[in-house]
Amino acid sequence: MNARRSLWRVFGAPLLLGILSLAGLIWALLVEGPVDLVASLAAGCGLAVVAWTLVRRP
Amino acid sequence: MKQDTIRTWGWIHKWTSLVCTVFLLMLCLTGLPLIFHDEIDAALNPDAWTPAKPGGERLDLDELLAVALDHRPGEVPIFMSFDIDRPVVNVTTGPTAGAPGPEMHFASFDATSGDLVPPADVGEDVMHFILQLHTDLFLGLPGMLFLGFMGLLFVLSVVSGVVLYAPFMRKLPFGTVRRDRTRRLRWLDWHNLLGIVTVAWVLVVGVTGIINTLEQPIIDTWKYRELADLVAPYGDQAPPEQFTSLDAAVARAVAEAPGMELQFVAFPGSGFSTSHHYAVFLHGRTPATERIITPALVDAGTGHFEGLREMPWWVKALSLSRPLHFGDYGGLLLKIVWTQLDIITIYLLVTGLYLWWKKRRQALPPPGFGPADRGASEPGPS
Repeated sequence: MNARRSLWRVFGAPLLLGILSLAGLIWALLVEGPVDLVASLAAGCGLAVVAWTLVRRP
Repeated sequence: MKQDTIRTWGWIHKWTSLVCTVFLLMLCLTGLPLIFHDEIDAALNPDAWTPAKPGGERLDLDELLAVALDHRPGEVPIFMSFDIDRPVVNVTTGPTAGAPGPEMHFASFDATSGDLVPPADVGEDVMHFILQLHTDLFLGLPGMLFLGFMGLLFVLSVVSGVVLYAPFMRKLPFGTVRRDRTRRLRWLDWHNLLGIVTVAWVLVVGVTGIINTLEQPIIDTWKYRELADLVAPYGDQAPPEQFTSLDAAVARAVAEAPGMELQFVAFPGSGFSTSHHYAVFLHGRTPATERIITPALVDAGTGHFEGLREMPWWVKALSLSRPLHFGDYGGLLLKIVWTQLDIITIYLLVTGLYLWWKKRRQALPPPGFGPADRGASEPGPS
């Protein structure tokens, strides 16, 4: 593992998750109907990472 | 990041977290049932009510208001609101138009007959207790402002946690949980991972919560700044003794606002109007505009239409803060997501306390420089 991870490497994944989550939260506010499901999944994208961390082998 | 900088951010993270943790735990726990308040209300109060004349013509609003006041002699109207999915008009009355919440009385009426609609109030006391605790700790405005300050500390705690995440994760891949190390390190890794993947949601809920605690000052400022020109001509005059037709006032307001729907009416002297006007609140019909309300003001003495008053951006921000804080706007899946994120926040608060307690007991060196954490500074409370 690179000992000098750049700021981007540290925050890249969290930043993408944050943007996706934020977009989902706002999108869900602006739309109605089935597309709400997609917005909700985007809002909860961080949960997928948590689930993946829980089930993966060390 | 320099060692002094890390120490400073660590100090901010520790103290902002410690001060607000108990209150945040209370807010997260009471917030859980509030996410599902609609479902809980519906389950406890199955709607078996039907209107006296299904599909029949509705009484006009003056008739309904007269019926409501007959049920509450000596009281004055404060608000009138309208159910979306059934012909029901809700009237809030009180000893004065400016009466505080506990002195208000709420009753619902069949819009086709004027009959009282049985209140759907099973479990209402419990939900009201939870909401009140969550909103102001039963202390009114001081309680709201206090919780707003706790929310501010929480946001600072989150921001400082994000800053401290960088030195901690410099040598670790994203998503690392060192399961084969000590329990403390394992908890620390989970604390960091859960904190960073939920940071957007946590900040949204935190910031909108702070905005919500400013509701009363925001509404007061709107009244005294934005409606000042309407209030000024009346000076210290008493409110009109005889109100003009409410039905006509509402009809005029609706006619002046094409593309908008009636939401509720605030009567003269109430918290959302002046002492001389009906404030007829309308909202848009699209998902993007249905939460933005616009008041139309009608002189309650003469019936003169004063005009639509678009809310300033800071009142619109308040309107949007409510759904974004409570998570009750995007359907069941969003509510489930909200619940999971709320539970994760509870876990973050508990693990933060645990990490602080363990570190305090073990008297470890400053974050990131002890032998147990070599190569990994600690963003949790130290």
